[in-house]
Amino acid sequence: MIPLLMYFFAMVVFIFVDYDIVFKVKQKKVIFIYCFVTVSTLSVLLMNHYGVDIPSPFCYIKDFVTSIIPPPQK
Amino acid sequence: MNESEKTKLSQSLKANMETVKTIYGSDSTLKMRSFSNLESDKIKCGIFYIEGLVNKESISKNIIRPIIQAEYSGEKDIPALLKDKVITSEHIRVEQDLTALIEAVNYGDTALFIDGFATAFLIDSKDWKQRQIEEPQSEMTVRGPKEGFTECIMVNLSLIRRRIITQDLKYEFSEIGTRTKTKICMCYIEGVANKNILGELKDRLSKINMDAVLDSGYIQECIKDAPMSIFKTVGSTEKPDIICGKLLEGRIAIVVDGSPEVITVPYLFIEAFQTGEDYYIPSVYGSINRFLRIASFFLTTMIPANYIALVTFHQEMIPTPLAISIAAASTGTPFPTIVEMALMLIVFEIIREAIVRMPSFMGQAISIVGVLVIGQATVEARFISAPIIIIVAFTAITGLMIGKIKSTSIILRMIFIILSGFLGFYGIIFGFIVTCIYLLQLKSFGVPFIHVDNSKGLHGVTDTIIRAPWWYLKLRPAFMAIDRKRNDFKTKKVRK
Amino acid sequence: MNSELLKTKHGVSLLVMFLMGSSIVIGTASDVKQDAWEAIILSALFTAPVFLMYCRIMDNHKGKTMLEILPELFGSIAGKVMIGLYVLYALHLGILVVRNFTEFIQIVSLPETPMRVVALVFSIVCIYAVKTGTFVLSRFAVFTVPIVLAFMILMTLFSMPDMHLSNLKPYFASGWIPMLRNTYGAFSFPFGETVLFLFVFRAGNEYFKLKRVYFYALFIGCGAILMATLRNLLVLGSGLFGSYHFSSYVTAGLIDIGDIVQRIEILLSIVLIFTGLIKISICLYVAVAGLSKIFNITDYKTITAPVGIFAAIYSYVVYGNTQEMFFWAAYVYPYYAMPFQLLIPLVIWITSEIKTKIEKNKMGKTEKIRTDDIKVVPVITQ
Repeated sequence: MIPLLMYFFAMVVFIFVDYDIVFKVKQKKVIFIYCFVTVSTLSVLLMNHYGVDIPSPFCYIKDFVTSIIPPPQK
Repeated sequence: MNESEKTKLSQSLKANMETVKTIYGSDSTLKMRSFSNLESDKIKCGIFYIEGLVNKESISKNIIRPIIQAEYSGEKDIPALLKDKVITSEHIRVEQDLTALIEAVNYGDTALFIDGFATAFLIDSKDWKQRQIEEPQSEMTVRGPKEGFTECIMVNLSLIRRRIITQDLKYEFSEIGTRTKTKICMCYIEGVANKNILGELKDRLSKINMDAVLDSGYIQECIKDAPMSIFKTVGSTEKPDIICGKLLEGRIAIVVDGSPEVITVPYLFIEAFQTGEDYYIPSVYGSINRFLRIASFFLTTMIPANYIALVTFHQEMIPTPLAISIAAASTGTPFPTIVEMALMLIVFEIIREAIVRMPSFMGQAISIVGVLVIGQATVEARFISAPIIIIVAFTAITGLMIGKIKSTSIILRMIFIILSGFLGFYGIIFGFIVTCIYLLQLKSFGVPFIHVDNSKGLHGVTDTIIRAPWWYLKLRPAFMAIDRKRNDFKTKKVRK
Repeated sequence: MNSELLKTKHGVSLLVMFLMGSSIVIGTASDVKQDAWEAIILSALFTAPVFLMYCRIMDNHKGKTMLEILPELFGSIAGKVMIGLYVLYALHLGILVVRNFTEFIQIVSLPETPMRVVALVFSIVCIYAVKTGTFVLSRFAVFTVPIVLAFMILMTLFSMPDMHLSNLKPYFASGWIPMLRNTYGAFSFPFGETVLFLFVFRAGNEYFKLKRVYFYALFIGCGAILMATLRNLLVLGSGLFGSYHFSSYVTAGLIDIGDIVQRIEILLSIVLIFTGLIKISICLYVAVAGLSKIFNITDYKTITAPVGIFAAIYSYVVYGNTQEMFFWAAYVYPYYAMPFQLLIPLVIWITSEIKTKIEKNKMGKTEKIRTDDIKVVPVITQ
């Protein structure tokens, strides 16, 4: 739980620190990126907390690369 | 009566004196006197002044007696006659605005009304009790001039003017503070100081819109680049020789009436470690002192945090005999190390602050209390372990070496302690990195706080960590000075 | 003001710290064991023409970073796609390095602190560093490079009593194919990653000579990595060298001078934090600058924080465990990075050469090049 809270706290701190840039400039894409990151943070941390396996695209890259160039046999 | 009429003088002496009396009410420091010429009743004058601010003898000698004894041969223009030929004081000016008149009298001038004319004279007669020029308590030196600034702006300016005789030293007066109308003076050396910084400074000073300016510290806070930063970006000092040294390097000084601290702009990080004494003693000793000061700064901010990190997280780094001693000393103490350290540092700060404020005869007693009671007794009662006391004492002593940056070091110390409590050495390093990056992007009036000297060769080092001999200190710091050439030693002089 | 100018020494310091970044922590070319040092030298030789290619691309378009060159060469949409690819690469690299360092810190010194906390704190420091700008970061690099290099040299000197020259024998014992594979591995990690610096630097300034920056950095960085690898080999021997994950750390732990200078490996990890910080900051910077170019965001500083925190979270996810991290670094990463480090720059170079030739023929005269004070902090224009 504590890492989750820490991440949230960090996000809130950064939003306040960047308050004048984020809100007064009113660029929708910036707010969108903030929302995207908050949502993905929450989902990753919750999935970790409940032990759900998180799909990582890098597994696919690893499989793809090792199928082409196999690692040496030890 | 509307505003403009309120501040206008009338031609009748009696009306003017009545107006002044109503303004001052039942203030008995206000002294008024009417008199007229022996020979003719046409010259009728009245003066008023504030007792305690004036030299009464000069008023009677220079104003009252000449007017009473003047020879009047019927001129029509009495003010001009009095101004040019009668009044014998050395400074006189004409004033027609009542508010300005009252303000000048409140500062020590004497005002003179003339019956039948709507002008008044302001005659300089300032003489008030002020502190003698003495050595400032906060900046004592062993070698070097021991004069310090006082609270009177004219005296301070004279101390500076006497040391830099060239005509390039320029003074620019202005007033700040709507109620206090404090006089300030900007000093700089034309041809050396950077005009951009000068313009920026004037701009910021004009934007100050305050009720009162009682000390240069008010102005310091209002013109700072980063007002909430813990690092000072506007410097101050109480010694004229240091101010002159800084002026000659291209900085601009602001003298504020009523304050013995003169502020200098721009102010770089390294100036906290430079004292005037470095330049008066031979360069080797000056370099050693400077190096000690910089090392003290690092020690005083990092030692408590390092101790906590070593003892809590990384015990393997301590040599074994020392580790055993520390472990033995820490058995039985109730608090974790970080709490002990924080407690003792706070106690030390309280003692330090208390000793500054109290009468000197109690100082001895309190220091005994501090040492014996708090130090000795807490160790014996096993509240705090002995190594903590040693660390705190060492931190305190190194902190005393760097008086100018002490408040910064207190805050940094606390931040490092908290960080090291969380993550050990990594916390300290992260804090160190953040502090470094913060310092690198801080600017003081456009000059980078950590000064970057782009000149070729080792000129960047000659006046920072060491104090190189004068024949190497050829150039003034970059960015601040237009004319960078400081001296012209062709070769090191070797006398045979 | 003159003070904002990025000079050659700033660029060199940034690059050197970047190169030393994770390679000294994890070690490169550890598969060939006692021939690792030869693999590193060969990879440096292989890197030299690649660096020449990078410099040539930048010199063809003086005064611009890749962020501006790519849309110029390939049109707005394809250029943005290519920038997007590099954004992904930079972000992934940043995540990998964060994971490297948090694993290192956790395994080696702070086993009880949850890894997410360390990753978060590290990322926060990097976010702050990126926000203050590349110029401040380069000044920080200039300040810390001497400390890091001096410490590495001191460590090597202190390890000398434990070194055995016989550990290097037999020379060239590994076959050709492992040597080639490890040479290429040493190139792609760390030398090839400097392709990201093309998004940071501009060429064509008289204070900042790009070729000099790259080649001085290659020399110093390769020297530092070589020194570290040789020291580890000489002290540990080929068997132990391959089996430890963090061989520099173990070597530092073996130093024992007069019973006082001992167990100083913590100092090594602290010094490595400096390098790791700069590497992650540069990756984060490229990712954020690229993102703001793609989405037309005015100031890259606004999105630094979310992207940085995203990197911190994702670093936990990207590898299942430590073993996977080392497997990835040795066997998968070189080929995964090949398009970004070699293939795409090759395409860019060829396109750039063709286009410059066409324009030269069109104009019929040489282009006038701006050589006045060019700030190397990029300005993202709408």
